[in-house]
Amino acid sequence: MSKYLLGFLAATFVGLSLAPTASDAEIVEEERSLYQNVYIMKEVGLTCMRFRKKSRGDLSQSCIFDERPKELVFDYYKLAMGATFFLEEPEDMLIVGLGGGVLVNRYKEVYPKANITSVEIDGVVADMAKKYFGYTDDSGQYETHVRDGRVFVKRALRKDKRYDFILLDAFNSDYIPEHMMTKEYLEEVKGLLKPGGIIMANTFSSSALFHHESATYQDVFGELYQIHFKDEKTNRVIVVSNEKLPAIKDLLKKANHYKPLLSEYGVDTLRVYDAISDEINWDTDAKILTDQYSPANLLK
Amino acid sequence: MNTLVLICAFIMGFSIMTVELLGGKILSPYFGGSVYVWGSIITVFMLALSIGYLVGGRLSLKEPNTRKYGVIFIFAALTTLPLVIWHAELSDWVFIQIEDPRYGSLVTSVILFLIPTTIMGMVAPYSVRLLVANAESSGQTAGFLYFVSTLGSALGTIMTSFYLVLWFELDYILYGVTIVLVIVGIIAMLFPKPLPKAEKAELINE
Repeated sequence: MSKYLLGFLAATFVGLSLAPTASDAEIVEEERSLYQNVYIMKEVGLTCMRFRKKSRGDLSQSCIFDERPKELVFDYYKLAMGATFFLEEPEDMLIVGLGGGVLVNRYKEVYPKANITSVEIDGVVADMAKKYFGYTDDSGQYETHVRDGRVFVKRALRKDKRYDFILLDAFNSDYIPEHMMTKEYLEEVKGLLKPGGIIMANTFSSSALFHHESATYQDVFGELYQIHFKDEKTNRVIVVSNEKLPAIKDLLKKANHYKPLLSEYGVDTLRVYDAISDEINWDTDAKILTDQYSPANLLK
Repeated sequence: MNTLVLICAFIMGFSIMTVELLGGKILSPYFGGSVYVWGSIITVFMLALSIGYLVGGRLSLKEPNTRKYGVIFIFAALTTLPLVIWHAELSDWVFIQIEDPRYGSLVTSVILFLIPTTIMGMVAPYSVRLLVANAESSGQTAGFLYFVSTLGSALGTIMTSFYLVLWFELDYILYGVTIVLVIVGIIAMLFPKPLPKAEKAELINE
C-alpha cells in the first residue's frame, strides 16, 4: 500500500553509490525502523549504513573509513563539499536527510560558527548516526529533527526560518521520495533561503528521471549548475539559488582557498571545480514534476 | 440486467481504490509519506465503508430499484467533487491548525474522504439486494458480487499506482472517476430492473 512498497515493485534498481562488494561484510547492528531495516555493516575497512542486507548493486546510505574517519568515501560527498565554493561564512545551514551525518560533520568543521539544523525522517537512522558516525547535536548550535523533510520545510516556512545553505539529501532505499522532487516542494525550499542563499541537491544522473528532475529545477530556479565527475556516471549534485549564481570562473578563488583544508577529507577541490558545469544537457521539454504529477519512481 | 449491476459494482470497486491510493499523494505534501499517513487514510476508508454498508443495507429494504441505485452513484460523484476541487486548500488549512502530522492527516482524511467513501460503500449491499433472487442462493449471489467488486478494487489499485499516475495528473484522474460514476449512475437509472419473480411473489404474499 505504501508508495515505498510500490516503488520497490515498479522501479528498476539503482544503487545509491558504488559500494564495495561485501563478500566479507559483517552486520554489526540491525534494527527495524518505521521505514526500513537499518543495517550497520563493517566491510573492507569501512563502516556503512544500509537499508538492505543484500549487497549486490547496493546502496550504502553512508560510509566512513574506520582508520581515517575524516576522509570522505563517496564521490557524492566530495561533490557536496563543492558547496564551500559558493558560501561566504554561512550562519544558518539546513540539511534535509541526515543519514549517517557524514557531510554534516565535515560542514561543522569547515564552518565552526554555523548553526546547523538537520532533518531525518527515521529516528533509528539518527541514532545510528550518533552511535557509529560521530554525529553529535549536543551544543545549542546544532539541532536534529526527526520528521518528514517536506513537513519540516512547510513548518519552517510558517515560522519564518531562513537559511544561507540548504542541502537536499533525503533518500529512501530507492531514490528521493516522490513528494520531495516536485516543483511545489522546491518552491517551498526556495522560500527558506536568505537572499543569495544556496541550495544543493544530491541526485543521480543516470536515469530517465534525470530530464524531468533537471527541468523541474530549471523551472523553479531559472538556472542551475551541475557538479559531476566526468569519469563517474551515477552521482551529480545540483546547485541553485534564489539569486543569480556566481560565474563559474569566480569560484576558482574559493576552490584554491579550501584546497588544503578539504584535502584532509580526500577532496581535490580543483577536480571538483572542474566538475562544475552550467551546460544544459537535459531534455528541456521534459514534463516537470509537480504535486499533481510526480511518478518519480516509475520514471526511473 | 444482473450483468449491469455487476459491472456497476466492479466500477465502484475500482473507483474506491483509485481515490484511496491518490489520497496518499494528496496528503504527502502536507503530512509526509509516512506509515501513519497511510494509517489515517485506510482507517477513514474502512470506517466510511462500514457505515456505507450499514446505510446501503438499510436503504435496500424500501422498494429497491435501479433508479435509486443510479442515484447512489451520482451522489458518490457529487460528493467526490469537493475533494477534487479543494483538497489542496483543505489540507493546507488542517496543516496550519494541527501540528502533529498523525492527527493532521487523520482529520484531513475525515474531511476529504469520509462522506464520498460512505456513499460509495452503499453500493455493495444495494447491489446484493438487486441481484438476490431467493434466500437459498443469496450467499452465492453475495459472494459473487464481492468477488466482482473486489476484483474491481484490485484492478483499480494496480492501474492507478502503476499507470494512471504516469499518464495523467492527479486531479484529472479524480475528475475521471467522478465522470465515470455519473455516467454509470445515469445508465443504471435508464435501465430499470424488474425484481426477480420469486421476490415479487413473496412481496405479494406479504
